[in-house]
Amino acid sequence: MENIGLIGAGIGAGLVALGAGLGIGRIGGSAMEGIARQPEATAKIQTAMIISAALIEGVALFGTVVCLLAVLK
Amino acid sequence: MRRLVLIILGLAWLLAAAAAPASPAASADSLVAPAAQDAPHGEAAEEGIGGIVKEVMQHHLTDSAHLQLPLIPEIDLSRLRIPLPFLDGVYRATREGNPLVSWMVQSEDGHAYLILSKHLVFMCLAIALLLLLLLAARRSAGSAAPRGAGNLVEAFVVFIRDGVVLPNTGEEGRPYLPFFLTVFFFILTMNLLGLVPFGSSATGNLSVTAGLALCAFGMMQWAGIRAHGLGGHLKGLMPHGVPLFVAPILLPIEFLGMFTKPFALCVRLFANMMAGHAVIAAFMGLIVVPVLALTNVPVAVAIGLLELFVAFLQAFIFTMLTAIFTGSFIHQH
Repeated sequence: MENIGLIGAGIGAGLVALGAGLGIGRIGGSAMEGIARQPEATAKIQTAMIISAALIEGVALFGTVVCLLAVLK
Repeated sequence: MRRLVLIILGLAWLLAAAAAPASPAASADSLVAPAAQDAPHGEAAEEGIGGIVKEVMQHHLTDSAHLQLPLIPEIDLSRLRIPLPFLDGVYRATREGNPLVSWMVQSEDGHAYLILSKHLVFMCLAIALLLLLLLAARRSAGSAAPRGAGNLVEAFVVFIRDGVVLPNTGEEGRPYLPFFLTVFFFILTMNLLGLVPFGSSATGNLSVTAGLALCAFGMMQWAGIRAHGLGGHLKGLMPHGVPLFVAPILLPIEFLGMFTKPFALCVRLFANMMAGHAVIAAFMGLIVVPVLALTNVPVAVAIGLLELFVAFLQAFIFTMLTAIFTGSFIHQH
């Protein structure tokens, strides 16, 4: 029964990856679209893309840290 | 450039104080017994591959009082403590009452010390490397076409100035440029030191990132107060044109927002660096399985390359977000 926590941490890490993947995927897709429509705005779009991706990544890593704490407890 | 160097030194001192909390526990651990020897009689599950991977990860990620370098015996850092005689009196007086002081120093004989740890050593190494690089870069200052180190530093400085700080803070942010440059170079160097063999990234320590975030917090508030005065700065918590009845909800949220921004900066940097190293360590730890070693090492190398990108990205993101938040305090809505 003690190891059920490990399963929880694994599922949690998976969900975190799923959410972050969805979020960053949408950002990347939209950025691609934007760049294709307006190639001259590439630099600005890339900067904004990296910032929003980092914000999502930050939240995902919060989750990862929680999962890691559950395992390494 | 001289101001930059001065600010690095100031920041380093603040961080040295911030990073110390991790070490008393680490040195206490090493005094009792190495963690690896404790494990077997603790749980049986600790043995085998899982135990090895876990040990590799913990050794790689956590701060410790021991420094392992190639060709020389392990250095016990808890012996290399720096006496702080000017804190002796303070320490004795507040030993019971003030946890802040007793974090910074440790003392068995009634004297105050600043204790070194692995991350602290690598942080100081980052400072030393930066000082060398920047002093080398200064030699070509003023010439039309900088060469060597000057060229390298100029490329970064111009990028941070024209691509990150000024677009987000406007012309008012120009006086604060040295701060952003210092933060960028400092974080970048610490991140990169973690990718060197036998290295360790100090940014993978929550105390270090908390120190950096504290500096960023100070920067945001200072810029806001400089731009609008203390009253105007606080008035910025309540944007114009907002009906009065939402104030009880809005004010606490905005006030908390002041603190959650640097908190997120702190955890983001820490989690990014730690998670990257954890993944590398996990793959490298699995090397003990002969078949898996064939696939694990290339994967670990690939993730190492990704980490190289992340090291730059996180230094950039930290600087960028600090600049955006500072800009939002300078230009209130």
